[in-house]
Amino acid sequence: MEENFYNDESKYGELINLLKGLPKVDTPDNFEYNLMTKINNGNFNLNTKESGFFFGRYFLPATGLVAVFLIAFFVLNNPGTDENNPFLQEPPALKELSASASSPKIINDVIIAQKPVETINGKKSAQTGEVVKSKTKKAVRVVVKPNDVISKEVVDLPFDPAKSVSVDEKIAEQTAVSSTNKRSALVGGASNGFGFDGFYIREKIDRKYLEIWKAKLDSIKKAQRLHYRLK
Amino acid sequence: MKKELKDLTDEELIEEFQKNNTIEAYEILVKRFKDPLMNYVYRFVGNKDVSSDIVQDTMIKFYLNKDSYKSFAKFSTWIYTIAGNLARNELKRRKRRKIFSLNNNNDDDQTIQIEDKSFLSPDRATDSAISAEIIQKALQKVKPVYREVVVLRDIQGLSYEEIAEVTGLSIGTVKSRINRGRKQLQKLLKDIYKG
Repeated sequence: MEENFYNDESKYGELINLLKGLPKVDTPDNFEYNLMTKINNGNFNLNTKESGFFFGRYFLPATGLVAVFLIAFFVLNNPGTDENNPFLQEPPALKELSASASSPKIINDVIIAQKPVETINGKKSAQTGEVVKSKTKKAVRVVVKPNDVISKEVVDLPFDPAKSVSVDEKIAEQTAVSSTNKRSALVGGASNGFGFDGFYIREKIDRKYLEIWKAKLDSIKKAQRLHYRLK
Repeated sequence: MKKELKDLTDEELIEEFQKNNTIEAYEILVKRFKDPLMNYVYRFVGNKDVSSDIVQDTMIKFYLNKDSYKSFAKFSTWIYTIAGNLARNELKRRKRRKIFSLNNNNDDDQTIQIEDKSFLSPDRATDSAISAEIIQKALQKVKPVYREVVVLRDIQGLSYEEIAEVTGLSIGTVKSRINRGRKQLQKLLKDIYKG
C-alpha cells in the first residue's frame, strides 16, 4: 500500500518520460586533459570553494538581538547621564565669573581659600591675615569696583576645605597627603560629594612648583594684609 | 589469464588504484563517470561551467581520498556522494549570495509559468531542444532537496537504495521526496503536457 503511494510512477509516467528524454550533458572535450594536467602538476586546489564556517548563519540573529538591547540600553538610559556626569557640567566657579563679568569689573579676582587656621596649620597663629582668620568655611573674593570701592564677595568654591591640600604642610612634609587629596577632590568633585577620581594619572607633586605657588600666595597675602592695615 | 584494465568492474578498478596506485585504473574510472556525473550535476545545479568544475573537483577528491572508499559499497554511489556534496555546497553558497545580494530578484516564485502560451506555439513546444530548456528551467524551480532525488531517480536512473546511500536519507524519505518533487515539477510543466 505504502509502496504504491510512493511508487505511483504511472501517475507521473509522462513526466518521467520527459525527464528521461532530456539530452545528456557531457563534460567539455578538454576535461580529462585538464584534470590529468592538474594531477600531474600536483595542483589540487579545488575550483569550487568548500563550504566553510559561516558566522552569519549561526550568530547573525543573536548578534542582532544583542545590538538591539545595547541600543535600547544606551538610548533609553541617556537622559540621566548628563545630570550626573561631572565632565559635562559647567564648573560653579566659572559660572560665577561669567555672571559677574557684566556688573562690577573684577580687577583682582584673587580667591583665597578660607579655612580656620587650626585645620590648616594646626595652630591658631594669624598667618594669613584677616580674611583667613574668620571661621567661616566660605572663600572670599576681593573685588575692586569701577568707583574704586573695594569689597569682598563670598564665593562658593567647589573645593571642600576638608579635602584640600595644605601647601605649607606639604612643603614642610610634616604630614603625608591624605588619600582624599586627589585631583578630583580639588577640582570640585568633593563639593557635590562626588568621589569620582576621573582618569587622571596620579603625579607626585613637584616641590619646586609648590614653592613657586606658595611664594605667589604669600605675596598676595602680604599685599592683602597691607591693604587692610592701610584701611 | 589476467583481465585487461578496461574490462574490470568499477570496484576492481578502484581496488587496483588503491593497492598499486595504477593511474590507468583511475583514468578509466574518470572516463566512465565523468559524463554521468556531469549530467547529474548539471541537472541539479543548472550551470554548465560550474558543473564541469564540480565534476573536476569530484575527480580530484577521488584521487586524493581513494583510500576512504571501502569495498563493501558500490563505487558509483561513493562517487555520486562526493559530487552530490560538492553540488549541494555550491547551491548553499549561491543561496547565501542571494540572501546578501542587494539586487535580489524573486526567483523563487512558485506560481511562475514557464513560457507564455501565445509565445510558445505548438510547433515550437514540440521542438526537443526548447522542451529540454523549458524542463531544465522548471527543474531549477523545484526545491533542491526534491530536485536532487528526482534527478537521481528519473534522469540518472539510480535505484531507491542507491539514492538513499548517496543522499544519506532513509528509503522512505527518498520516496516521499521524489513524489513531492515530481508533483512540483508536474505543476510547473502542465502547459507542456497539454500543449
